[in-house]
Amino acid sequence: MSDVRSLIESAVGGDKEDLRRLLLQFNDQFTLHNQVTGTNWVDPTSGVQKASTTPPPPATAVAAGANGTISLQITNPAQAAKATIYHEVSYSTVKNFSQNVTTLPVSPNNTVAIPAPGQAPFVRLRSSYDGATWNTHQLVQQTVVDAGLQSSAASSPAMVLNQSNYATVTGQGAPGEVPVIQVYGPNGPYSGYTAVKGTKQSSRPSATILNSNYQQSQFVAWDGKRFQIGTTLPQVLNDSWEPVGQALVNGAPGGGGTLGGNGSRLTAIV
Amino acid sequence: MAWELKQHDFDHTVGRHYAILHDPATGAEHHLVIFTSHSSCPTCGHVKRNDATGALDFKAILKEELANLEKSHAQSTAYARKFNIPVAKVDKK
Repeated sequence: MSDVRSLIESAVGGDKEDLRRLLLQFNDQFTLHNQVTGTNWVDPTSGVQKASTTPPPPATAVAAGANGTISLQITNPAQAAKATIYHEVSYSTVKNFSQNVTTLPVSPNNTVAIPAPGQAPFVRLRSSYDGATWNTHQLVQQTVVDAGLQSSAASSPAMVLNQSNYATVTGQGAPGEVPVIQVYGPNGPYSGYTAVKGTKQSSRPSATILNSNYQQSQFVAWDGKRFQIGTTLPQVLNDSWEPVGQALVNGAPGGGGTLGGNGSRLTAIV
Repeated sequence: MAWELKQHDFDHTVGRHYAILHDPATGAEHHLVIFTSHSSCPTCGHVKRNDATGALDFKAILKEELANLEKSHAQSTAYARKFNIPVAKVDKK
């Protein structure tokens, strides 16, 4: 016979202490069930009963960014009874989430993927039993989570690209002279140019490149901080680099450019 | 002169001297890359000494580059100054 049944038998027999313990056990169970089911068995109503206003304890999460996606692994808090916990993940470029906040749909899933190529946002999390009463937002980590860029390996071979620039790359040099490559924008030498990626336009500095190999094709790329130079196109096709243009330092036409002469710019529009 | 040397460093792994010149008023930058390593034959790959490196004078190059930058931007700078037009900073995003 279970403890509860023995208490019932004892209470029916007139033991007030057992009756008290029995009723307290029922009350504890009711309270627990009310909390996770959103009902009230002791005080039922004919209308829809709202769930407990007590939110769940905070969940913990670990974030990792790679290949243009931030992956979040959420661990639910320990619970007395197994109830569904809903999570709301949001991210922003500022730590106090005062602007540029993107909120993902509420979900009970414990793994969340945020596609954010090239972004490094702060990520926060809050949880709820009912989707209405939430615990306090918590930053997943105190620093930004860098999603990284999507690598070529993750792209289909025939993926549509739309990258270009308004740079002119010219080379000049003659035997006995120091080879010179100039990178510049539409306003002429020593003025910056605009790089285009999709609909986004970015300013890039101008450059002078001295003493590179003579009589050799030179490919120029921007790595985000400085210019890189290679003698073949594949040398400047690193995933994080922007190809800028090609020049020959012997004065021959570089080919492929739209501005004529020795200037050329690299465009990838498939 | 508005343009000045912002920073420069030498990358031993590729044998290149990188210098950034900038105009603090506009945030505009001009990069200077000087090869100092050995070059190789484009056909057979034979490595040969880059003879021009010894003749390079960074101070003279820097002076010339700064002068070229000033000259290149003088007309537009003068125009903005003449009519007291606020100068927009370069958006580096």
